[in-house]
Amino acid sequence: MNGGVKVTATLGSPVLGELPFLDALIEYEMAMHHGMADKFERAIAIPAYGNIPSPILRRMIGGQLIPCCSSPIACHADNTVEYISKRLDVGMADCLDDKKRIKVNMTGGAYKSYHLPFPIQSITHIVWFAVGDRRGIKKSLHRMTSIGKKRSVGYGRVIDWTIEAVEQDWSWFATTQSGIVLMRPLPDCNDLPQDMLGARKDYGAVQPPMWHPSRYMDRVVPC
Amino acid sequence: MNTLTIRCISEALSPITHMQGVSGNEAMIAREPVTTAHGTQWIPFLSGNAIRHRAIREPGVLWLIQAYGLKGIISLAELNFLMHGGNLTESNRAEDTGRIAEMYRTWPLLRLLGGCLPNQILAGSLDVWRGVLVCAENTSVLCNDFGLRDVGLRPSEQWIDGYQYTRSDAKGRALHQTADAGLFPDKKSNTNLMIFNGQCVTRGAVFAHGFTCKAVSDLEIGALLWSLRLWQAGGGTIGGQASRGHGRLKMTLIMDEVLDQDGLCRSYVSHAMSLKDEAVAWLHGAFA
Repeated sequence: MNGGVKVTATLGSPVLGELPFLDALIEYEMAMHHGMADKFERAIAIPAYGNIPSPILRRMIGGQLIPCCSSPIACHADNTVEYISKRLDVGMADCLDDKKRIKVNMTGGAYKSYHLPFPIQSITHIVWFAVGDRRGIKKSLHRMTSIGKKRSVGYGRVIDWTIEAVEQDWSWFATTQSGIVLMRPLPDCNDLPQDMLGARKDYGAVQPPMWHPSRYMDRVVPC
Repeated sequence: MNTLTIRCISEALSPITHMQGVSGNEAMIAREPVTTAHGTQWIPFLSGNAIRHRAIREPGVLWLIQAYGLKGIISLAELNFLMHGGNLTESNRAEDTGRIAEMYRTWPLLRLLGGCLPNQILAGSLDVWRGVLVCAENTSVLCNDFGLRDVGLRPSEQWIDGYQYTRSDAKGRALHQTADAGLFPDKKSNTNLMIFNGQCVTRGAVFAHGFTCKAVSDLEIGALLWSLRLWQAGGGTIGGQASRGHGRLKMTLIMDEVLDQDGLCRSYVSHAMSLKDEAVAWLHGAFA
């Protein structure tokens, strides 16, 4: 049964990169479940949005089907930079075949050393507001133990998911005393409220996968 | 196939020098911002990348290299794949599922860690957590995740100290020849000892960390446990200056479910040795 939900992720480590959209996380999980994940590539056009089943409700606006889910909201973030490094271990040179002991270029090519800076956000909680099937959302999130990039080395580890029922629908807009505040990227169209606050025009995706150029369009994003 | 969470408590047996850079001529320990009731504090931590390499990949792969007799017969690309995960150096739109399946069968450790063949990225199934210093500032994470009760932990700064060593430049000091015993430093010349120092986490500090193994078989769990045992048997070091005795950790595993650890390790070792020829053939074939 669809209803308003507030989803909170309690984090045990910093998140690397931008905070993810909940609808994108759930659709990736559902795509994994249906054997449809990792099929999309940047260079190949992807099918129209809506093929992957999701417990989050979708509605039409500006001719586009959009998930009813807000952008990620973090209470406070300490942004900093961490480095991930790699250097070929030349101490293992004696493992190499005599005929294959060559001089290796460490400043370029396949064995280039790196010391890459990554922006990280140290936050304790991320909140999303959505409309959908609470049990379905809970079931999808159950297996998700980490979010963001570089999860294999401990970033974005989720300690706990909390899913609460809420009466208000704050997935796209939140009504305040000053006006209607935009809560997620939406198509730039005439269907948007006239007195909308906290929005700016942009070019990018409004549906998952947010990284794919096929999804790019004129949009408004929260600011 | 199941998902397994392993929590660990590691006690520092010697100063931990897992560094992130220098300030002036002092080496600074790696810290992360932690939000507390008193504002943001910068707390020492162990990176998941370091734990993944030093505690799992390095000991696990070195054991395989020795057990399979690969020393002296592998190429640089193969060594890079085993020790560092490899690089994507060729483009290929085709996925060779047979090659992936064969790697999963013959190299359970690499199935666990993942890697990159010249034309194919292979996802691993292991998430390595960062090491969280057991201190007052990290109380909320430790209570939520490790079931620790708030017992009034010491603040992190009480676990941070410094080290200082000296080194000398032999070329910078005058030598003179004695008739009977060879070259000796000239006692009249000035000493050229150079101090180098830095921060460290003191002995006795404890780090909480763990591993999430997603959809793994018993062989992969065995590979993980076997690698951790090899790491501990080899001193269990993390961070820099291990040659001076720094970075030793004594690790204790905390399992959510009861596992026959000895049995899992034995199964993995037995499996690895029984597929030795096939595993070596796969490695040479993948990098031919």
